[in-house]
Amino acid sequence: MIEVNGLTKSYFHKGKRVTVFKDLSFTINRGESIALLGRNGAGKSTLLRLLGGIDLPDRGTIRRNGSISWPVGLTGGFQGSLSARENLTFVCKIYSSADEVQDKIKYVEDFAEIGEYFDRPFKTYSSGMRSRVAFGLSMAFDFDVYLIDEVTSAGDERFRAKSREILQERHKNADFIMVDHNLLGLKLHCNRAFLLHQGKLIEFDSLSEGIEMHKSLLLHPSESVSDRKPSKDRQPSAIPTQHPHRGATPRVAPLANSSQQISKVKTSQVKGDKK
Amino acid sequence: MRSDVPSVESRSENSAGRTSRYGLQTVPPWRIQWRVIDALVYRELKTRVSQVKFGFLGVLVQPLIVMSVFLLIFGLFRGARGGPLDIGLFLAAGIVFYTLFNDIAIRSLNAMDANEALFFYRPVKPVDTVIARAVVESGLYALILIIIVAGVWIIREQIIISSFLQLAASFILLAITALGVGLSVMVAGHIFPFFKQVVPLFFRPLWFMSGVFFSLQGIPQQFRPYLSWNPILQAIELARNAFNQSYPLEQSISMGYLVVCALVSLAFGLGVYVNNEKNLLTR
Repeated sequence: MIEVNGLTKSYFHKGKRVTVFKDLSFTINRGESIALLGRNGAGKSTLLRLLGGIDLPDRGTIRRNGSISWPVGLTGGFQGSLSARENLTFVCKIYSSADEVQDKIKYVEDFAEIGEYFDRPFKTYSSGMRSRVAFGLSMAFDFDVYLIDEVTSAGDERFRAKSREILQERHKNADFIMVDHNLLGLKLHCNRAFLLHQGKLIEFDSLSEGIEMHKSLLLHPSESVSDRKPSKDRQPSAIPTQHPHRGATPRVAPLANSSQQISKVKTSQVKGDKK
Repeated sequence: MRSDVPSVESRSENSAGRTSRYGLQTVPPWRIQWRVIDALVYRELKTRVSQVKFGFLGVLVQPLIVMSVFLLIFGLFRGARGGPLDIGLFLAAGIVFYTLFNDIAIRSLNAMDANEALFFYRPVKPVDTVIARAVVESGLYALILIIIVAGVWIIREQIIISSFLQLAASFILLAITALGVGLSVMVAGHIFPFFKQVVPLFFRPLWFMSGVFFSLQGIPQQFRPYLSWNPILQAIELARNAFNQSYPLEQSISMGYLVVCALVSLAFGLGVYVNNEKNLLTR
């Protein structure tokens, strides 16, 4: 469970204080996966960093139960002159005991499928290869909550399908907080939406509502949120916000039928490979 | 603390304790600390090896070449001024010890910028990067010192270390002093960015004040108190005395003073760091 109270974050830029968001309060229960929506620069990644504890807020508290990953998919922590294997050894030495390190690296090597590049300097990798390694690394560890920042944006169809599959698998035991401009991926994994707009956060119990609002705000960015805030007495959403029996209920938004999605992707990927 | 930073009340940081914060619930804090430093040392070494040819030997070659150039220049110009001490050892002690201090303390100024991406893995804190750097530099320069001493030993064919314990102690104490200074300048450089330009200038004169290429005995009596406060000079003189007990040791030079320097510096550095850790991690 993550409980956020009165969270405020601002940056100093050229002597001026720029507020990213002000006084956010929300609770994410165990079993809920959140899609973080908002325009570029709305503060989605900043919020992820704060939730992950990499950055600290100006004011406010974040209470976390359970372990939270680093923002999955970011490759900033990788040293360019080192190979993937060496970079992974560094992270695994921190997050696992000494005798597990080799297993974890093997896991990532098998997942990434980048062949001999695995032992070449990281700076020579394409962005797709980087994503493969970074994503594989995050999945080598069992966190209770994964913070996922634009994982599927790089990489080919095969990698996308694979990461979708593995996320689905991980979903049985873990929750996600996702940022992704590919809305299809969000529909697949999330059941609630948080929309960040002009420093405020609006909660949606249904993902589709959130996405609708997000899309309309993209078209009319100047509109203030308060005018458009969904009425309190709206229809109760079709998706229960809490899943007391994890795994018993399918944790996928009804908008997308997951198995269909994956099988579609698989066929298209085979075609893609032949080209 | 910067006045422009509003007070931080993020309670999660303090109440949760270090173990439960990172998905490492079952691991005791000291083990996490050990793992992080182990991992950082691994990364630092691998990075250095990857940047030069010939693997680990290549890492040693560059500082060794610098040392030999210095040895050659000062050896030729100044002749054998080491008194009873071999000129090679005289200069090696000075140059190795000064460089050790410099690399740990001054280079920590940019530790925050250089390692920013690593703080993305939550167990890694800024203090760990400075400690890891101190460990790597100490190991590297200890090896270099051993190589030089071995070289001189082969040439001179006589016993050239009279007190290994004193040599090791002055080396380690100087490294600890540098670690404390390094932590302080890292924090200062982060809070007041102009420090990053000022501090290296401020430290430059130390090269001439630390007895790298003179002995305290060679300085007129009345000037000695102005130099002997310097822990680098203290460590260098102690090391020379450790090589050859007949190298004259000025009264003001003592191991006790170096111990106090190391403890005070470390305590001060850690104190400054602990009080500013949140500030360092806030972007």
